[in-house]
Amino acid sequence: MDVDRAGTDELARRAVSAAQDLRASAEPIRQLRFGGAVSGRDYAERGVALASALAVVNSRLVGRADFLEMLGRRLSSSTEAVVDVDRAGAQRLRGSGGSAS
Amino acid sequence: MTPNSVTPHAVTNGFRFVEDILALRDSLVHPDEILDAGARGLQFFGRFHDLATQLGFEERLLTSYEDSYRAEVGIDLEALTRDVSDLAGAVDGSVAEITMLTVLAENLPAVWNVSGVDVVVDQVFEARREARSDADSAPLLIALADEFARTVRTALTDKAFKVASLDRATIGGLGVGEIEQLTRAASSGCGAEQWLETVFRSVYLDARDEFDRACTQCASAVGDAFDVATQWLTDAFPSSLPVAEPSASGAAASPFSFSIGGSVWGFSITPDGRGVSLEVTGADGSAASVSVELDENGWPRIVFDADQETLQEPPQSEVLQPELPVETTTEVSTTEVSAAEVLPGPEMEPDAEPTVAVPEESSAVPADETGAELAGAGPL
Repeated sequence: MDVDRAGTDELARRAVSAAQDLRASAEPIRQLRFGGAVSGRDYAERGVALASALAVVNSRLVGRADFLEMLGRRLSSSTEAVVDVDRAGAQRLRGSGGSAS
Repeated sequence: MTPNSVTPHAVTNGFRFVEDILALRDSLVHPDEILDAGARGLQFFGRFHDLATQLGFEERLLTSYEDSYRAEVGIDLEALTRDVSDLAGAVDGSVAEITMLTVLAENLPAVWNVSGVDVVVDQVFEARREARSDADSAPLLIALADEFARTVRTALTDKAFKVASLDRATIGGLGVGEIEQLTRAASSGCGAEQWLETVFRSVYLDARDEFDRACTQCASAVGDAFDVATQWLTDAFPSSLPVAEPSASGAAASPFSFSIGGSVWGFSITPDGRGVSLEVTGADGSAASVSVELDENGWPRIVFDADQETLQEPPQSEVLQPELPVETTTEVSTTEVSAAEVLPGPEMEPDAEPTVAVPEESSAVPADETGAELAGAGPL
């Protein structure tokens, strides 16, 4: 069977690794210092709006990290599932007297 | 009486000349210090406010001048600068991420040749476009914070300079004590009314107008700076959902709110961007919120918060995932399926001949091992 398991595994491993790096980059900006409480006495609402806009940068990084991590996991589970199906098929073929090429 | 900016003995800053205040425009001093530098001008009202009130042309409270003048007190430009620096640093790591996304986009169709992979590849391309956009905008974050800080400092300095310029010990050559004597004389009909009306009243109200203009112009400039910065960030880093930030009162703002049965249901992203939150506020003011967020291990957890009590449930089996194509059972044959169909080799198309010959009667996959199970081998 012609499945690039090694290539898929490598892709999965690198995707998960990239996701971890991205998550590590996003970690220091999970909690922002700036916000409504330090934006000036009469500018709390505007400070909240500005802090919210800044927080989106973190959520975009985390979102892409989640996407990469999920993609890596699915790639990895795909190769395992393919191998399982392949092994089960081969066993059934042997059990029924067939042969796999 | 508690000393404040309007009481003469409370002002001890080191600006001997009003013009020295202008140098603060290009400095890095804390905004509160800029306000302190101009606060000496409030002494004008400290000296003459009571007389003006007594003569009937001042209706404001003396404390209102201090309140108006210090509208920007507490603004922490350093916190903003440090946040922006951290954000830019985090986005700098996008270079490796973009490379990875490029590798994925170019190789996924070859190693993961299943139905729906095109959709996944499209999502990878979209993620790469977003990462590139973030990387392009990151350097401008620093410039944005610098410009914001410069605008705020300039506005505060201008206000401080204008207000400090109001400070004077005399009006028309007369000090507070002499004007008090004139006021007493006028009240007993001794003929000082004209001077009080044409000189004292005129000068006091002109000074008040100057003060109001200075405060209004500063508020406008600072408010615009906030709005422009927020709008730029929103354009450069758009979000599919607004992020809720705790308000000044500590209550979380919910960008999406619905009124259902007398209760308000607000939906938002949690402040740290790691989950979503649903807050329900009843008509009686009681509130409860439920958040689904990722813990430090990346597992989703549900956080229930009502009346200060927080209950955390163990990790759930259902993981929130981005939308990906689902391999439906109708796409997988239960009698002819092989691993190659689920994940063909790099050169294979979905319709290509499988490399494993499976006799029809051997039924490589039992009837109970249907597409739902095999779908696990696909993208989803």
